[in-house]
Amino acid sequence: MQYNIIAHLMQNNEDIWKILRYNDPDCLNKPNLTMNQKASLIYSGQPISTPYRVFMSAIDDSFEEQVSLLRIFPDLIIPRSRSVADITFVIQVFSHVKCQYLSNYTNRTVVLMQNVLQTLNGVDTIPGLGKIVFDRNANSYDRASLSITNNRNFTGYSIVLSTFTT
Amino acid sequence: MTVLDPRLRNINAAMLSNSTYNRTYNDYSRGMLQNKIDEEFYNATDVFTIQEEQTPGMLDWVNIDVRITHVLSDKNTSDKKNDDWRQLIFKDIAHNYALGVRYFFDNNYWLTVQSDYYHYPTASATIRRCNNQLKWYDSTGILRQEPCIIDDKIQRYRNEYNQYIITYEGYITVLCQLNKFTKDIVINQKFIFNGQAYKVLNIQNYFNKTTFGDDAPLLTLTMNRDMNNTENDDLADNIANNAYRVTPSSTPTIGNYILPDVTSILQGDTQQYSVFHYVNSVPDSTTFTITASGVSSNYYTLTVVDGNHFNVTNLQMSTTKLIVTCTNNTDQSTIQISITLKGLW
Repeated sequence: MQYNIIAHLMQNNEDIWKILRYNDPDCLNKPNLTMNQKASLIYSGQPISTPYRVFMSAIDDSFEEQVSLLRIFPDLIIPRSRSVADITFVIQVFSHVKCQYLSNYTNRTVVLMQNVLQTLNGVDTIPGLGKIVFDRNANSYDRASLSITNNRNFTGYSIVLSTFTT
Repeated sequence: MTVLDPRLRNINAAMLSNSTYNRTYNDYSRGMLQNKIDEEFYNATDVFTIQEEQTPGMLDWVNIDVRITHVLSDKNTSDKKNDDWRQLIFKDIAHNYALGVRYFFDNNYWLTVQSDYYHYPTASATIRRCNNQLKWYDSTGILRQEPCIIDDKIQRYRNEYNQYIITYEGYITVLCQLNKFTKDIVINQKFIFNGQAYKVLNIQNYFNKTTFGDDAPLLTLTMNRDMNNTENDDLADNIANNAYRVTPSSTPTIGNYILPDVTSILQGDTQQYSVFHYVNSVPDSTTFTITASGVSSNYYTLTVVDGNHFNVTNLQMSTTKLIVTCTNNTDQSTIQISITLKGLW
């Protein structure tokens, strides 16, 4: 599930990857990343995780750079029956407060959140998943909240989307 | 002989000194001191020949004669071990010594941790015995081994109970020479000392030798207790993340070989391979029949260029491995390569 969602973001969004790759205010005006450049931002079990920006798990390494990160986890699985379930998953987007201001007068974490929702909400073509929605009528847990903080210098959004799958 | 009457100092200096070198009374005085040391140095019972490193990081040793004396009192060493500390007194009062210079004697590396370098009439340094080694594979896959000093005290060690799983914490301080190899050590890097894993929490590389220079001679690492990975760590040789070392590719000698030894391909990528029969490390004209199995052909493209070359394109990720079999057309022997068709990363 996590792989397929990240793969969908790789194939259908450019701004997310530019924001994750570049830490300067003008990041959105940079050239699009190639698939290999996007792939190089995704952590896949290397000894030190801090050079990477996209994670499918929590990590225990300490960051030294003012960067932006995206993490994705399955969150809540509520079975309707033995064979079908409502699934919510969380995408966390957060960045260092000193690099949140972008040259187009927007906030880095807000733009990340907007792009995640724009790229995933309503999509029903991701292998292994039903239609992904950001819809409180479909799942009462769906929400985006400014709840990510390390009580020091990183803040960001926790975005809960949901799907219904077998 | 030193003239005690200060009125005669300049006369004495003018008469006894080399006019091209001892231009001041200080020069003369230092020359007298050196002469005195030269006369009596080898009368001491604590003169030994040891090895001194000439270039930081290179372990290029040169023999030198020094006096080796005690630093710590036998009865008041606290947590420090008396035998871990020594003072070196150099014969030449202008000996080129400094913090971070390493020595080797009694089957131990020693690191200079204290010096009296600035405007002190004689040359002496306090050295500390390196009680372990930092071992790691660098970015080129080469094993680096740097002598280090693990401080005697472990700080704030405890079991962390307020979690779903109890884990152990403890902080140690590790001191080593800052050189072209150790400068590449980064925060979060893991090391193993006698089977125990520690992770770098803080790096102090900024105690410069000169105020305006980027020339710190020592590196102080604060490490926190980490966990062993029985799959990736080489606990026997105390090398963390052993699985990430670069394994040199085997050099063909005799027999069938598929090169390069690339066993995973990212989705969308194409990898070129060659297969040859080698005799005395030289490929001969033998051709091969190349086939693939293990994965549906929807997942890959195998392009046989000729009897010795083929390309594999990963069309989509597969959880099972693609097996490419090359059959020697002369003797029907086979060689296979198992390829993981990876995803987008």
